[in-house]
Amino acid sequence: MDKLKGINQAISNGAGDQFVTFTLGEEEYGVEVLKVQEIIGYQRFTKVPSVPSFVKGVLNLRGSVVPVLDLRLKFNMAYREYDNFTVILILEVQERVIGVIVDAVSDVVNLSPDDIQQTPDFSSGIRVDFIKGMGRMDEKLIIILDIDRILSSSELALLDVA
Amino acid sequence: MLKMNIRNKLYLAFGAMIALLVITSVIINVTSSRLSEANKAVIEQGDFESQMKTFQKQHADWINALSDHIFVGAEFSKTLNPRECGFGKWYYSYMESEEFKNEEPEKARLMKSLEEPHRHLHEGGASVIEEMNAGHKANAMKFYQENTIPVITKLDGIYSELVDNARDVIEKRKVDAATSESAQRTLVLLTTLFGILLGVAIAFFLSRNIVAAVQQMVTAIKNIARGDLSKKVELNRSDELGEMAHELNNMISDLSKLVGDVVVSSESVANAADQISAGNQELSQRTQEQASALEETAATIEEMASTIKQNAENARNANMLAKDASDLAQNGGQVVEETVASMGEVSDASKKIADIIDVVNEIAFQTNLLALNAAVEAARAGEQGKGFAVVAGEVRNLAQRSAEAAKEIQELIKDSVGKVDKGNKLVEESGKTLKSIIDSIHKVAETVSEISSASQEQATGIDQVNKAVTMMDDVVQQNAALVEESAAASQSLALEAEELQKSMAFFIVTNDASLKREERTSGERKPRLTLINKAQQREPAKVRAKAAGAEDLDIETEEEFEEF
Repeated sequence: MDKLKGINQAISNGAGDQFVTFTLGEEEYGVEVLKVQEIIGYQRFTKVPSVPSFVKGVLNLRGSVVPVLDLRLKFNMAYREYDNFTVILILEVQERVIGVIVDAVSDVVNLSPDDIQQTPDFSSGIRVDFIKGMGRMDEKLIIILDIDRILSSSELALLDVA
Repeated sequence: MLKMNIRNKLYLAFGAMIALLVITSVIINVTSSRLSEANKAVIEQGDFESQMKTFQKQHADWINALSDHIFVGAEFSKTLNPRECGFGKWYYSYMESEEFKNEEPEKARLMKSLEEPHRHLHEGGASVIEEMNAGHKANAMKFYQENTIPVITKLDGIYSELVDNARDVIEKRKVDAATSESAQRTLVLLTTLFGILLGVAIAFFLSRNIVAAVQQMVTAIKNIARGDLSKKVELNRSDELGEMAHELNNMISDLSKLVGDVVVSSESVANAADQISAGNQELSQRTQEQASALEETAATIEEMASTIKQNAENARNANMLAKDASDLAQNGGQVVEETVASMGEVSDASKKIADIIDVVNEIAFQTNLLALNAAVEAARAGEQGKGFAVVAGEVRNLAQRSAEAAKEIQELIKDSVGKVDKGNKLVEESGKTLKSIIDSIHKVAETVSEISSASQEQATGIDQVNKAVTMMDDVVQQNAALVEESAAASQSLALEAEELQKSMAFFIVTNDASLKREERTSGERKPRLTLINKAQQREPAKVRAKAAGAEDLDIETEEEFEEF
């Protein structure tokens, strides 16, 4: 009910951004709702040869070919078997449509800019530019991803090839 | 004479008498043979006389025949050979015989003188016959007258002389016989008288010599008979009686020795009897103790028997209980099996429910996805999508709730399946446990039956022991009886020994013998004393050894210990 209130509030305020939250392992991540085109359950896709390991293949989404990548592998996390609750987020990235495999989708939440804090500085050698900020919601933190920066241009080009 | 033994004395005495008898009989024999010789000679001379007369007559006949031949002319049939006439035949064989050689000289001379005239007579006859055959009758007559007649006369004369000589001899013999008969009578009388005297003397001497000694011996034997062994026979003789006295003395000394021995032995027997009596008393006491111990043993055995019986009973009960337990455990096993089956069913049902829940979950998931998509769409739609967003939120909410409920149910089902699994495992375990319980119960039953059989065996064993104890009791009773008998026997033995001692008091022995006895008794007891002394001496010896040195002391004590 709280969530409903939040959504309602977000809707009524119109000020805050809405985020789709999903989980990878223990952690919860969020992407802007406007970047999300669709959320589908896990379905079979076609594997493509000689691509980076995080690129799992291509998906036929209502006639259009969509490349699919595993965000776990992209984030150098351990590989996890896909199951009935595995979800593919269909995202729009730099005018491209890609499928991203995540463990599960949690919610659609409203976060006001106050709730979002800047990414803390780690040492200079670590890449953190794809993290937009840390969303605070109740007791937990949501890692807000800048989905446009996750993939480098070369990788995006590679996806095009795929 | 005194030095001779009795046998020789008797030999001598009877020898003297026999010699006298022999002398007498010889005298009688000699004289009687002389008489018979004389008689024989008389008869022989008679025979000889008549023989001579016959020869005389034969020759007279021979002369008559010759004269008849000369004078009458009768045939002469008589012999002319001097060796062929009756006389001639006898004469020449006689002259050559032994008889003639032993003849008296007078008779022998006369017999010799017969030969010549006899030969002349027969030769003369031959001459006469020759003259007659020659026809010279006158010469024959003359020869007959001058030669033959003187020869026959001479021959007749010699015959007569021979007959006279024979008569003389007979007379002489008769006189000799008479003389020797009288001499014999005198001699026989003398020898008889001497014999009587000698016999009387010998009888007197022998009786005096032997009887005195024999009486002495009799006295000694009487003494022995009275039990007096203190006196000896004082008889210094070298003959049989002396020997007898010596042997009697030996016998007395042996007897007194024997009596001494018997006295000592009787004392020993008395002591032994006392000891036996004491031993018997002790034995009796011990036998009584044994009997009481046996009684206790019997009571204990009875208790044991009852315990064993109870044991057997308990074992039987335990067996039954084990059987019941086994049955129950088997029932439990069945129940477990049934439980397992029911659990399986539950598990199956749970799985089905889980499948359904999966479906529900799937629907919830899909609904959620749809709702999310709707939310996304609503967000894109902006203001126009607000109402839709609310609906989408409600739908998503419902989807989430149903997903949560499904999740809860799933968890519950999972939990129940887990519990069922656990229950299954437990049931399995309990089944196993029950099985092992059954096995254990079987083992227990076996053990109990073994115990039961062992108890049975024990019972029989106890029976046997009981029998043995009863037997022992019998034996102990018999022992007691025997001990009693033995006590009585030892008592009577003691009495007998006393009697024997009393009896032995009958004998009087010399100090010599009693001294010996004392020596013997002291000698008998000495070893015991010396033994005691040795035992007493041992301790000081050890003390001395201890004083001698430490090493010695160790060895000694060790030895002592070993001995101990």
